[in-house]
Amino acid sequence: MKKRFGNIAKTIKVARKQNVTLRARMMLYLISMLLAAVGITVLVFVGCGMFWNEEDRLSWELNNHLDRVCDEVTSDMDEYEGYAYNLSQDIGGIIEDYMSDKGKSIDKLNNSSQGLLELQEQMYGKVYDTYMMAKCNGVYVMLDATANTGIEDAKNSRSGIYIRKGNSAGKVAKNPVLYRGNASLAKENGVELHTRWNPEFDINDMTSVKDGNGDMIWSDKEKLSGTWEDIIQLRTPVTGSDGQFYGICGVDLNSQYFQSKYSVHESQFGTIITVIAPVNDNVIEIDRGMTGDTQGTWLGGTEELEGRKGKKYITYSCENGSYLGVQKELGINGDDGEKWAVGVMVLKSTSMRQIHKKRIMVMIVVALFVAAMILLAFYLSRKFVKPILEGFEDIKDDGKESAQSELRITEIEELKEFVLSRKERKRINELPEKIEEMLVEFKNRTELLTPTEHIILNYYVKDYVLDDIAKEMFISIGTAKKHNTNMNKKLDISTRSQLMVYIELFKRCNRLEDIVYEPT
Amino acid sequence: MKRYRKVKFGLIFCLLFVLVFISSCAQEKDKTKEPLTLTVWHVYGEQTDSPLNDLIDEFNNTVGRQEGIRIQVAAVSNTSDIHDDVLRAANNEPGADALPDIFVSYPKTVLAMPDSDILVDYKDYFSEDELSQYIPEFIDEGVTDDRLTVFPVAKSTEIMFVNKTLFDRFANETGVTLDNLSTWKGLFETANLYYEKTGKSFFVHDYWFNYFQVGVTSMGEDFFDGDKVVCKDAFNIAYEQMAKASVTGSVWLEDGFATAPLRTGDAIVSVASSASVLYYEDKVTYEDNNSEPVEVIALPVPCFEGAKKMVMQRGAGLCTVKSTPQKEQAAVTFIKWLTSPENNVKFVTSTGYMPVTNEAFDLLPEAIDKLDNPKYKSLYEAYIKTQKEYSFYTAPKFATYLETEDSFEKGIRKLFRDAVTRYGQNEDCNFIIQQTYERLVNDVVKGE
Repeated sequence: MKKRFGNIAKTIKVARKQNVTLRARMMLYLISMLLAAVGITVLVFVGCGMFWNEEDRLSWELNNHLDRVCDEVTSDMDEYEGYAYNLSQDIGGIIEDYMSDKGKSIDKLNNSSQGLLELQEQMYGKVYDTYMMAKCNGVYVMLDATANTGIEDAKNSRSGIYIRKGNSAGKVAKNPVLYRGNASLAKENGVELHTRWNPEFDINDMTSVKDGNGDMIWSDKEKLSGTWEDIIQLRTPVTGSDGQFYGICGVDLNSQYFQSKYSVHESQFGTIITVIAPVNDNVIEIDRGMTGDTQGTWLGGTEELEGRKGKKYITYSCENGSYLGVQKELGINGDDGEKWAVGVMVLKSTSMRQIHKKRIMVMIVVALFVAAMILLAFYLSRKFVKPILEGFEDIKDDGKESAQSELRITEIEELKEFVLSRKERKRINELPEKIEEMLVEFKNRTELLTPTEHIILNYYVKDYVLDDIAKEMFISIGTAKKHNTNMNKKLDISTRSQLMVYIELFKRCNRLEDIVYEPT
Repeated sequence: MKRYRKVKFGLIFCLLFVLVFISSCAQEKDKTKEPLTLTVWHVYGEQTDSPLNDLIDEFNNTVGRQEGIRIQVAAVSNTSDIHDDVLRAANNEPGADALPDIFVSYPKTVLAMPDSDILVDYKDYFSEDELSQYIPEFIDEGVTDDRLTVFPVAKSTEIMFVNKTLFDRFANETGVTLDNLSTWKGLFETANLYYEKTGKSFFVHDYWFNYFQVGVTSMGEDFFDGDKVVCKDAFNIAYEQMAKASVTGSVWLEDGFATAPLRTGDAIVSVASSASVLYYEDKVTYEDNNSEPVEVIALPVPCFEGAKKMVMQRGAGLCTVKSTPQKEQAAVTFIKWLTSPENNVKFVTSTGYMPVTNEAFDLLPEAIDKLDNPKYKSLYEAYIKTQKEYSFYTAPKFATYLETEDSFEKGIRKLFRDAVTRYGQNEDCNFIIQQTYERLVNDVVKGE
């Protein structure tokens, strides 16, 4: 591992020593500045809620959950309606058969305790089976007859069977207790009487009971008489094959059922709760409907949630806080044909806190990014200028520092090399001070030569020897030697070799014109 | 100059960030705080109005609202069903409900749990000084394995309830008085007389197990040997006194609570928990749907002649499931609120219990005076008389207590239902009593 890190460090070191082009550095600098600018723009947009909008995500999450819950509720309600329909068919058949056997009509059962008990005994099996299968809180059949028309308030009293779950604890199906029905029925079937048992129904407790002409309906939330339980009832007419109204039957579900069935959904915006209730205008009346588990909220199930539709969700308000949610119409019939809806919602303050928390997180990340980009640009600008300055320093110092620079720019390196080579060349071309002096003195001395001696010097420049010079000048060798001797004296040299060194020096210095005689 | 320019740029950037930050935060207006929700399973008001639910609403709307705590009632049940559901959850049985944050239980449920360490030890949340405000015996009752896991919120005892309207009618015919009901012998003799006159049961006992347990102890013998029931002389005396009335049909022996036969007029006297006052109705409804209003009164339970006056002390407590320190503290806040003297008196006088703190006991007489319901007034008069004259018996704590109680209760009822059928078929009463005793000892007590 250590070795690997060593290798990586080495690679980085080598890479750092690699020349980077000026163009690449400029590109990097520009990109970092551009990214910083983009970051600042994003920061402003996020801050204003125009970008990275968590509310869209909330809306998506709510809608997604609503679809799931709505499917579940619809499926459950359909199932209960199925059970209630089958029960009404079975009970209708039993009553019809009983009536036919006895040759009576339903109203003839009034004041016939024995007849009503017999009918209850025949119906009990179907009611019990429905209770066990439907896993609801209660199943009932209410007949359109009473055991005693002589009692006070007999017009509101109806015979029937109502069996219910004894308590709301646990999911395990428990034996029912008899809430309404003949006490003998309980004894015969080994069930206990409900603490608030009565032999007959009071139709005042079932506010939306119709005369049987209506469809299957779900009642509003009502208090189960004499108890703390809030229930909704599915009410289905029981009729004979000729359409004669025998009574109603159905199932009931209590608030604890909804609480455990529709538990809260934990989302990143807080706990999402479910409500199933009648809708009037923009108001979800959960005081008339049911709520799922309301953990994490102050909803007590007694509120009316007034909705204000927004672009992404509905804002619901009630005395127990504001909620953000979405709703969908449920395909069930309420009292008086009222429509019900399923709504899912989250406490507004919690979701807003989460949204702001996220927004701030994003803003901090973007701000850090912007800061990083600015720092990078700053760093790059420094790194961009530094090698140039170093390069100039290098040039000034004739490249003595070049070995120390790590971040090198190709263009600067090339420039440096160029300037240094030129300097070098120049340095090579310049003569030592003494030689210069010698050349100047020599030049000065040539000015003392006579024209003939200058001509002889010109021939030497052209690399002639003295014999050839004499021939060229059509003079004797003796005369030539004499002029040569005078010339040597004036030029302060003693041999031809010495002269030729001077000539060579002038030649190399491209300064031959200084000593060559140009006849006018 | 260059440095100044850099600082200026930095300041502008920071200012921009702060402005955007503030503007984004400024959108939050609704300050409703999400409550810490605690679920509770309790037993106070199953199948009727629940006074505890009303008190929970009061807590949620006052202290709970201030402190961000909301108590949510997930189930109102009975200790037996809660015992089953708690054990099912604690054993992670498939389909079991998750444990609530708070549940009502007897120590016997805690003892039967696979690991009672999942419950909060209240000693971690109550100071010595705070605990000293409570009746020491009630606190001791909630201690299992040296940990205070069951916190007392209300205590009950067993009380005799009498449908005085129907009893007076019978008394006028026969000359019996309520004094006849002060001993078990007198009560069963009266029951036989009532049956002879009306053909109906006279008496119903909710807890035959307690009849024997307290009766045997009151006669100076041990009812338990470890976790086993022993049947010696005192047990036989208790059996003999109840047997004849039970075989002849003078005693109601169907499953279920005493409230049912008193509601239908199938029985007129019961011994039950004082807390069942909540379930007794002030009317009797007959098969033909006719009803009549009745007066239900409460009296101390009968005792055995020559034995010590003794009565069962009952009353479950609240267990809190360990979770986060915040949730545990919230649960303790609720329990402290519920057992504060004023609230505790309000709670117990609406449910037929006794309070659990010394200060609440001091407030009780005044609260009783203010009671409107004569049934409740009568109950607390009987309670005060019981406190003066009786000693309280507390059931032992062992893991299989509930199973033993349950099998005894169901077993003895079934045996006597069979006995009633045989008696109806003209079998000899004494022979039935003897055979039933043998079956009770061998099949039910020894479990052979």
